[in-house]
Amino acid sequence: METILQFKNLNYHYKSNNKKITILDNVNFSFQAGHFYTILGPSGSGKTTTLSLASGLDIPRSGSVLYKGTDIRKIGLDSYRNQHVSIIFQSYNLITYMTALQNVVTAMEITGVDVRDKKGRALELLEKIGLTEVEAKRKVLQLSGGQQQRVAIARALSCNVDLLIADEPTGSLDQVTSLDIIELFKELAHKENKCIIVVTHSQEVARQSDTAVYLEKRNLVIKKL
Amino acid sequence: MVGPIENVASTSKWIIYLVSVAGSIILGLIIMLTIKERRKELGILLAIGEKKGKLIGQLLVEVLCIAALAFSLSVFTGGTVSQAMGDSLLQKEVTSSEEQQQQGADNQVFMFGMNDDQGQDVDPIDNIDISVTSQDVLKLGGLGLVIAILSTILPALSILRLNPKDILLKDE
Ligand SMILES: Nc1ncnc2c1ncn2[C@@H]1O[C@H](COP(=O)(O)OP(=O)(O)O)[C@@H](O)[C@H]1O
Ligand SMILES: [Mg+2]
Repeated sequence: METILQFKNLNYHYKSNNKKITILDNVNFSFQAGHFYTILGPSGSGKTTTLSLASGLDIPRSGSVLYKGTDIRKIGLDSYRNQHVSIIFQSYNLITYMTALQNVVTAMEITGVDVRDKKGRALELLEKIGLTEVEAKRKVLQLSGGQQQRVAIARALSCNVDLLIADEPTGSLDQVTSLDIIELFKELAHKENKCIIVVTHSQEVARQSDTAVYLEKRNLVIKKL
Repeated sequence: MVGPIENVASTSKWIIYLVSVAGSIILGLIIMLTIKERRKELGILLAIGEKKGKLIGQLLVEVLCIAALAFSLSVFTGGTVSQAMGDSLLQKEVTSSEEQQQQGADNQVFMFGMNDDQGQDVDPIDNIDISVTSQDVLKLGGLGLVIAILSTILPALSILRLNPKDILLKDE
């Protein structure tokens, strides 16, 4: 198995009102390609913070995040986010004045993904994830929450990266839809050798993943479900 | 009698200074507001991996497009408007200087031997023919360009301080 993402002696804390809140305490963990991980833990334990470190939205206080063996600071956080990782947020984070299709195409243009017919590919992805062409051409605010999250997932998939990071992506979806999405994540991991890391509250989702990781006592621990 | 035309020239100069400075400030403030309004969008683009320099560049292109539109509009209407403005400004100056001369003539009684008729043999300038030369257009275009760039770049520097993590993860 190929290690794609590695936390090395990772430390992170927030400072607020002169109080130090330690989130991660000397964490060492490796994520493999072709593997679907879920991260669980109580609210406020630091799951979102961990994902922001993994996705290059923030830098550790000490220690390092390695992508295929290279410190992501050396790659450059912008380039790392642009070329190697896709992020799916809890609150969709779509550009609201654009259509679903435009959101996906814009992301493809920013990352410079090597696809000639970007619009065609975007429509294909949106359809794969459950949006009709008519819905794809609607402004995202005219879509339901679940549909908006699908657009965000399609946007993440459009960039052909091998690392996909998601913060409670199915939190606002009904159970049938969310199992569909999880099925899609599984397929991407197993058939396209991507590494998928998903934060979830759902034991059901965690059971579907290859490895369930708990954020416990400021550390990442693998647990058998 | 060239006083009136000199006054018109200095008035116009002041108008140019005033408009340039006020224009830069207003444009700068508007762009600052725009950036604030589009914080979320900028954060999303940054999270996808867009470079900050590119975002600033995009903002600049947007402003310059509008500037180009406004500029071409002003080139076509500028001649007519400035002719009307020039006429009315000059008319004011001519009237006030005629009044002054009228007063001067009244005062002459007390100023024997001191009336030099300097310039009196020159026909007073009481109309101006305004033509906007390509040089004027170039100069104004340059000035506009500088204003647009400055008042975009300065507020746009705040983009450099944007942190996508704060923008995207905080409001959850
Ligand atoms: N910018 C911040 N400043 C100070 N404390 C923060 C900040 N962001 C998050 N925290 C705190 O860090 C802890 C972990 O937050 P988070 O990673 O969002 O947890 P989770 O996603 O597991 O719910 C929480 O207690 C939160 O209050
Ligand atoms: Mg969270």
